[in-house]
Amino acid sequence: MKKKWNGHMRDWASKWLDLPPDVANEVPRIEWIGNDRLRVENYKKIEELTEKSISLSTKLGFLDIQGSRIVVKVIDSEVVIVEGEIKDVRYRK
Amino acid sequence: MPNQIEGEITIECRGAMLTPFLNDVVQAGIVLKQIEWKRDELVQITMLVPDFKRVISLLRQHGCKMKIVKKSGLPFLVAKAMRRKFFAIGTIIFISLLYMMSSLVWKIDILGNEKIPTQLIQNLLQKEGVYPGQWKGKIPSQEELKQNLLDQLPQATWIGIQMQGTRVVVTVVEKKGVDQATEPTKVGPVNLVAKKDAFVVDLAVEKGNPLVKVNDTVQRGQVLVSGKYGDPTIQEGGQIVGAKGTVMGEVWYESNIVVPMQMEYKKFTGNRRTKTVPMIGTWQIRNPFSEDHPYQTFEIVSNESFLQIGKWRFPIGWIKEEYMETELEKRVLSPAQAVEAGMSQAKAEILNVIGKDGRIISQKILQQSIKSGRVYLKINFDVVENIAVSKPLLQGE
Repeated sequence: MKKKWNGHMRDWASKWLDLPPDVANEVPRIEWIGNDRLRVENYKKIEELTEKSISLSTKLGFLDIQGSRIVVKVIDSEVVIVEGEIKDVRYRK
Repeated sequence: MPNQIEGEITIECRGAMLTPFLNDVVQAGIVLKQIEWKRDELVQITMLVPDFKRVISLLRQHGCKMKIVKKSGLPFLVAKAMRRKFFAIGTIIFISLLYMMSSLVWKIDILGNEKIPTQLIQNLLQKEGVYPGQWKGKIPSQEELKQNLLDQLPQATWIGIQMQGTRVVVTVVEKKGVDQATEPTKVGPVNLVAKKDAFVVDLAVEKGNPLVKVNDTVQRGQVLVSGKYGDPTIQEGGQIVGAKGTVMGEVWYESNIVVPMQMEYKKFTGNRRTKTVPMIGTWQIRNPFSEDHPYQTFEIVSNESFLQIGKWRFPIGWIKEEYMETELEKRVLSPAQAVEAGMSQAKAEILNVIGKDGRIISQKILQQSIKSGRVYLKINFDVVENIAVSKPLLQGE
């Protein structure tokens, strides 16, 4: 209950204070450089990791990244940097 | 690079619960790198050394197994070095010994002294703190050293001190003392005998029995003044006093002189250029592309200077090289001028030979020829000089 209320407050703040949604809200921010380097902020968990794909859970559902020779370059509790030949990035509920 | 200081470990994890394990690791605040999915249930990860223990304990909780694949970075290098302890210690000792050795004075060379004994200079240097085995840094400044040495060595006009690596070169320039060798050593009573064939012009006998008269012709080795009074032909008797005096004789000299009619002089044109070459130790850093010789003919005057703070001289310095352009100047003499030059040259030589008592009465050119740009002269000199030399008078005679 508390979490839900907190989320509402964040939505409200981002709307009224004109803050970018990734700062106020816990939605993921994705930066895709070229086709081989992808940086995801505000993820929650790794769901699956293989050579061809990586799935992350986020606030908006699962984020599937597909390609070949996928390697997680760096990972900490907020940021994942994925490298490899990335072909497809897609949200899945 | 900072990761290399802390060190990195790459491990291979095997197990069924790899994804939850990775999530737990990340949740624990550990940064993972280079996560590579190798095969089913096999993942390779890289982490910093300080995180390794926590990762291992999480790994155990999830029932995974691991194998270390690669270690890199400073902690492992240090560990390796520790394993080869003696090698590492040896390296350190070697480097520090080399450094220490090269900052000592090993040798002192004393150059240019003829009369001043080397030992004396060495002792003085020792007192000033310059001796083999001394630290280079402890040697007093060169100016001070020079001054102190000069004060204690009145026979020297100039002292130069140069550090060449571990060698100290002391250059001494001695004062040219008054020649004391001209004073005859006491060898007892002497006769005066003729130095060369001559015609006696003047006699000035202070002591002894003159055996020749003015206008006599004497031969080399003939006794001029006897050190014994009385008749010299009589063996016994006669008081031995020793001869003293001068006998001036007329002597002829012939000198052969060659005078080139073309002379080449080196002359400075006044053009000069200064070049600065940086130096580390004794190694000069020259720009290989720069024009090495700014002039066709030149002379170099170089001057070294080093960075210095107090007594400490840095091995970094520079050489100032001054290139001064020179030019060859030809001077062509006419035959008459050449003869004149040759004449004065011959005169100077003769005067040098006959000493301060002698004088030239007359001179005559006997022969004169010009061959391949040179003037050949044969000159006859008629001179008067002291022909008397001392010869010890043997008591038995």
